[in-house]
Amino acid sequence: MQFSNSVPIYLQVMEDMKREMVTGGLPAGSRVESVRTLAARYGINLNTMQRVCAELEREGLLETRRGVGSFVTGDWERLSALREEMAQTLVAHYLKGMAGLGFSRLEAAERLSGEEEDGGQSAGSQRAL
Amino acid sequence: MDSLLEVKGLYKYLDGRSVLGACSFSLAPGHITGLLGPNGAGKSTLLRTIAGLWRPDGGEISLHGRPITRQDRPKVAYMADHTLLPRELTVHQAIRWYRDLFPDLDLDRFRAVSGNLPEGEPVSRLSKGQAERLDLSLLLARDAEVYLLDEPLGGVDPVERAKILSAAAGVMEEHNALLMATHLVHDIEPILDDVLFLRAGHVVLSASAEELRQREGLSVEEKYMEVFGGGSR
Repeated sequence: MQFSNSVPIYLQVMEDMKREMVTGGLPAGSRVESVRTLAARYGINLNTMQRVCAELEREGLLETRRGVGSFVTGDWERLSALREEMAQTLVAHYLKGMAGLGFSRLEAAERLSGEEEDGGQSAGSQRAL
Repeated sequence: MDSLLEVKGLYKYLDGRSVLGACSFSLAPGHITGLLGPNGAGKSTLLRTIAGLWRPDGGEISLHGRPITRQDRPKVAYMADHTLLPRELTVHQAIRWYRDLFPDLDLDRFRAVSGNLPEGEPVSRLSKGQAERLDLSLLLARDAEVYLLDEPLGGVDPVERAKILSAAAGVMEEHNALLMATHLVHDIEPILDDVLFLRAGHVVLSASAEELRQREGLSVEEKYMEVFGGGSR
């Protein structure tokens, strides 16, 4: 995974894992690899990876069972709420960008419906290795 | 946080010239720290002095809160910027030779970092990158508490380097601390917990890498440029 320079790495990795959770790469209830393995896969240090897992746990997305391992939450509502949050962030980002260019909300909305189905929506597909 | 290794007011003169002046910082257990600074800033001198190869001219180095002694030396593993392995040995023999020096060598750790090296080849015939990988893996396989690396993997291509360093980060335990001097800020940024900027023998910044990003919105590399100048990269 290529990291953007100036955003804390733990936030970037959290974002990536969340995307995996809503897109099925890390399905609900599935087991997550050990912190050590994940750290190696993302090419980050152990402490940062530990922080990622702790934060995801705090947000109710990961559950750690002592002596067994960590699992993606099996709570579908939580995961669909996550998907919703992520969509809202994207929309807010889009609207803000358009407002910055002087487009009204309505114009921004019209833009979207005028957009070709498969054109221009490559939503920064950064993925883990 | 309790520090594993603490350096307080360290001075070092070489040939009557001040190389380190009042250096103070500490290394936290479980943390990987990047020692960054331009050429001649004193990075190698600092590492050698901590490693005990050179005697400090002032100040104190302590391990677990107690002044470091000769008996503590095996707990501080140091890798120079050039190989010290006998070049005529094969890789396999070199590993055994090293193991005679350091009987506590952990071969699992060694292999986790070394990957596949041609064990039958003499050390002299390894590529620069392979030789550096061998050196680094042997060092990290030692049962030490503090690992000091001087410009590791300078001769390895960036892709391979990132892989090896991430493997190196992976074998660190919670009671280990790693301090590495490097110019390659960009490549190693994701594995650093903390950074130490050294300029003309003085510590000018000691900070957590994530905090730099969070508080200042700057990567370690950008912060480096800000502190040491040099304009665009």
